[in-house]
Amino acid sequence: MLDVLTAAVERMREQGAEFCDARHQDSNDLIIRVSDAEVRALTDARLAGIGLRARVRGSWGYATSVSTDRKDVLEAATRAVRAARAGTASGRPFPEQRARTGEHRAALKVHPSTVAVEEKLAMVKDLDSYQKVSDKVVNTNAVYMEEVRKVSLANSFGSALSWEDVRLRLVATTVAADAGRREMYFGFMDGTGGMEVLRKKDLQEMGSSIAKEAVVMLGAVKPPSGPVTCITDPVVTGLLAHEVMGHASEADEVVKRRSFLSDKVGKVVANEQITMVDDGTVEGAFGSLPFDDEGTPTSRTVIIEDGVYKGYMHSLETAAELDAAPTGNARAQDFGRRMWVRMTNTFFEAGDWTLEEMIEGVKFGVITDRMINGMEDPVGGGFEAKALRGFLIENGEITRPVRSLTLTGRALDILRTTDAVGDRVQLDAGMCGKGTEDYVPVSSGGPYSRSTIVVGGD
Amino acid sequence: MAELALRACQAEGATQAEVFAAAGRTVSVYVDDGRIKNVEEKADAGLSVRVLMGRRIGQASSTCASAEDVERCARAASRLAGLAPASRTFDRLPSPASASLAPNNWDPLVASLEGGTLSELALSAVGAAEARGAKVSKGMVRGGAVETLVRNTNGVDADNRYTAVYADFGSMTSGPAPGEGVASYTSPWLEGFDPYCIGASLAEQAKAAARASALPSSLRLPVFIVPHELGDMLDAQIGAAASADAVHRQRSPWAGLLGQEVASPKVTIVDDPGDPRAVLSAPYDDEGAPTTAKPVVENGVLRSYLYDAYASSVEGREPSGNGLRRWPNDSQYVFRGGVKPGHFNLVVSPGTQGRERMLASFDRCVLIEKVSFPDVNPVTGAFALEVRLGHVLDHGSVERSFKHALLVGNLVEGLKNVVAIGRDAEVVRSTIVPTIGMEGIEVVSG
Repeated sequence: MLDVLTAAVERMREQGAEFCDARHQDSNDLIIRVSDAEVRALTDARLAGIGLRARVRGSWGYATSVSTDRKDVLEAATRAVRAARAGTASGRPFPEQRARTGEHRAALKVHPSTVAVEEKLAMVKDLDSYQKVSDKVVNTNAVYMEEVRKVSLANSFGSALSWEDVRLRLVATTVAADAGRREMYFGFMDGTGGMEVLRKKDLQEMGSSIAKEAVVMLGAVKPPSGPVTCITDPVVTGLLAHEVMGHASEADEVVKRRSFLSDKVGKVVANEQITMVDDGTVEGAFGSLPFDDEGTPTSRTVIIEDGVYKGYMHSLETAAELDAAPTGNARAQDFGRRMWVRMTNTFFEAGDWTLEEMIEGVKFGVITDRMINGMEDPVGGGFEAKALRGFLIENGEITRPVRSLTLTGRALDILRTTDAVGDRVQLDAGMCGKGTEDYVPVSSGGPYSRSTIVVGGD
Repeated sequence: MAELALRACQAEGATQAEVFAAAGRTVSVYVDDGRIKNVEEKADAGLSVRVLMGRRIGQASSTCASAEDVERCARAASRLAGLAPASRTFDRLPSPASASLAPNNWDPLVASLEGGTLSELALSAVGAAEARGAKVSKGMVRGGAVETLVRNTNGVDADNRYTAVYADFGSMTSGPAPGEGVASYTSPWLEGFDPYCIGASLAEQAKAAARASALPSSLRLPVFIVPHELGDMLDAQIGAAASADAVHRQRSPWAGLLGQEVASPKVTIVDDPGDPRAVLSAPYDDEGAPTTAKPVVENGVLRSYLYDAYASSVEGREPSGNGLRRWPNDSQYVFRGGVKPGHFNLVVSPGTQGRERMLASFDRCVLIEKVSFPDVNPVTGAFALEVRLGHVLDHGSVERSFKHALLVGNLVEGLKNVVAIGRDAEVVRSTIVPTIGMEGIEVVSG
């Protein structure tokens, strides 16, 4: 494969590309979905093809080929250069980078391809059945997702390398109903690696505890509205890291001055207890990968250190524009989609408070539990996170569960009110889009954190 | 290739088999900071295979460049069917039937688009926004042409083709506290894409957002939501509530309510696969069953759920022609989506008044123009959305514009409390929706 990719790179160079790359992806997914003891999907999904990218005077041209035939690929290479010439952007040339070579296999113990489908199917059926803990449980669901992605890349720096990513995820979702009310609760385990990722938890404990929490949700009350003391759980803390501080620290937003953090390097942006990083090298985390989609090794990028803003995540292009080093954050959903600056694993680091100490100090407030989703606002610096549920804190004690609530406000205002940062970091896996497209696997997280935040929910 | 796949499945022991094949051509341009940054010309082809061995079902999908890819995909689906436990109810793929709808949503201009043409259109929108004082910081215009084919061993043989133009722009003003605007466009047709109108709207929204400030206190007034945001909310809510699969799994807030009032009598919603304004319109669904226009809610009464072949087997009835694999804003890898019961185009019957006249008839009300992301909890209908641009109106005149507030409510309840519906219907992905006003929604100040 690398010889075809290298020939395509040569073709694009001959036709005037100042920089170019050719990337072959072969992804094989297995999806098993069981609902109410019925197997609803047992699906093998393969996506394979070549993406070609040419840069001419600061504009990019993209073309694809699902065929790996040399002639087809070279024709696509010609189309990529022609497309680039239709652009009107300008940009600095890329400084020469080290050529990277070699074949890099995924670091794992038990490759999922060596485990029988029957074993995986049994696992999903068990997880579904363990959710039947009450008559109030009206719907049970379990899903297994496996992705084995093999990438080969050649570029005009002379790189010719290949690597493999393996990602697994197991999700359980229970719906409970009573007296006309319906509530849902979910949980999961996931990571990069082999089947050992999913063997670290007791499935019966996982399924039954999720279902019990769905039943608890039936007694949840409407959350308070307005600014309150809010202890965000590691997942929602991670949303603040990811959606606001993370997206606004993607250097493509900075280059076009679309980030509220554009002039903040060296300035205090948060309470001194706060340090935040993006780190694509965290072993086993869902957003970890050996190389980004430009072939740059992933790395640890400090974004905030002790409350001071430190810098951005980069692709080759944004690094050239801002005189920085690439950080390994150029990612694309697949071979046929746009390359952007994207996060990997983004999280706040631990402080020294225990959760109990944080709760004791709250007269009235909420503590969140898990997230539904969040939305970025790199221009305005606004924060929006939807928590799956929460609990009221009254006079230093957790009292009643509250239904799904949304947290909002300006991120820097929230971080300045943060007065307690927990002593343990957890990461939460997810798929991150930029805008509403281009989804890539990431994780985000942090410790429990106590701040003043505007909340509301129905 | 479809025939090859079906033969391969039968050779592996399939009692029934189905192939959904799709080939797409997609041309996109991306705007960064007012310039054309990316120009993309892509093509893909692939298929999805579903195999039944009695009631055991396996599925596989793959990009396909050769007969070997096709046979591999068929073997994978067959192997999984051999491992699957039997379904409780699903034992039959659709049988052939004649189509009654013949929508035309194929625009030859879109099918032959080149990057240069799209670049000119995108730059026209950029220029119109800049002329009115806002820059277009990001944007995208995409033209896609997709041809699909469904064949199964029961004799279904249905093909379909459609084009899709999808645009999405973001604008901003300059200065230390910039305002943002957004505009999007979804249609099979290029002709309706008016870059000057989009550019003007982007600029006006961004300038209004820059002027907007936080609300001093929370509000409980009739809340009107514009089509751009309401369309996605209804897509999420009604799409889930009317899905027979969600009903069977007790996840639908409309489960068990067929024939009962679920909305204000002002509300009528039809799923119309024949509407030529919409990208997903088709004579057959993605399982090859003929489509029909179906009233989902008629004068507030729930009239029908939407079924694919699987969901129809649960109730022992015929499919309603609502097995869908496709999305309106993406023409790449269409073959990859799994079949689910869903809607083609949720068309909300418009009212008689234009938006301005409708809003002027209320003493005070709130108009929501932009929220962070317009989603709704599909199980409960609850939502709490960050408002990025809203207006408090006094007899239709802007009293103040606001942002950084929370819009809190429940759409299932909101549809029961509709106070007015405009006639300003717009196509928003797979909905065609006017501005709607509802009571019982709170605007929570920061």
